[in-house]
Amino acid sequence: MNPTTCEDIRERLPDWFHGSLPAEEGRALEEHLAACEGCRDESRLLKALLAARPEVPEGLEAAITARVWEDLERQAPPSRDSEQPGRKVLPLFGARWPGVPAWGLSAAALMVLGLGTGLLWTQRAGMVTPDPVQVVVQDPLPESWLWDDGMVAGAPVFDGLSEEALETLLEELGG
Amino acid sequence: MKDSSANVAAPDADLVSRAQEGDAQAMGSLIARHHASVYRVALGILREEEGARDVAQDTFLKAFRGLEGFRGEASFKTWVLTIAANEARGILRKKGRRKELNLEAAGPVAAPGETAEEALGRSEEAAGVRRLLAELPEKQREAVTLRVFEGLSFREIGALIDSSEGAARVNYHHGIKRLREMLG
Repeated sequence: MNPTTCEDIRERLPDWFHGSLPAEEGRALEEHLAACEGCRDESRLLKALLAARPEVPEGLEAAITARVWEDLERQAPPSRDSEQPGRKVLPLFGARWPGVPAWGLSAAALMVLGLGTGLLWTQRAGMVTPDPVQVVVQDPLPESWLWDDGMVAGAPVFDGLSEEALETLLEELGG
Repeated sequence: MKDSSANVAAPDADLVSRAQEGDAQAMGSLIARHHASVYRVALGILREEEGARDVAQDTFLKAFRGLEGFRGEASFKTWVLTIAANEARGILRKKGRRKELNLEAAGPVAAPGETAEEALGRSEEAAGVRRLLAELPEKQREAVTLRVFEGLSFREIGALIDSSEGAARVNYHHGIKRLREMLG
């Protein structure tokens, strides 16, 4: 809607100075200014205010950019995508593990799960019977962290396994 | 990471989407576009140039670290300015006082085609306007500077200074009226 009253015009003057007023509204505002001394006065005041806008220190943009870049590089390993000229892609969010395909992460997760299950099976089958007292003494974590199924806080427990059991696990890993 | 020619016309929302995917050029464009406003908002609150520089840097660090969670409910500009204002207010709370800004510390810089005398005159006039602005009550000064210096809407100003859109509008008009009276 085009500004019509002096109040409308004065309220939109900052948008006009910033070039964010739609073209038609801008033309209506300019026509009004040409005919209204009071609004021209306010326009001059805003122009003087804009001229008094504090200067931005030289080099600030470069300093911000450098710090942001440094921070992002520190957060994640270098990306192969970042070698592409023209469009640099930072190792951020989706590109966090660029050297590892998505299926690789899933496979690793499945392997850990399989390892834990295998360990549980060997323990329950009587192949490994760690002394519970010894486990508690050796493990700095409180007893309540050690679950009956051989897991500590969701991860398989390897402490106390015999050489034979460890070799079985290594075979499962293909090592 | 300058605002490359391809990015000049790109809306902030597009740049934010690309930045969320890790596009460094898009991040650079967002910095180029908004660092001055971020710095001035921090300066307006802290009234201390070095602190405002630090706040400007910390603001963009926080913004890009948290960009994954940015949903675009407010504009990117309002979002980073809010981060800057909160950072600056946090520093003020820690310090418990305000330092005086030496507004005249930076000497006048002649614009192209301008003589040294003209530059001095312009600088003195600007310093005079800043002194008048500094005399306004805080809310009025914030509303005037955010509206005139940064071109924010009253709704955005309200969000930034923790007041309603209507209160931001009233503060702006009172501030302008007072400045007009002070200028005679």
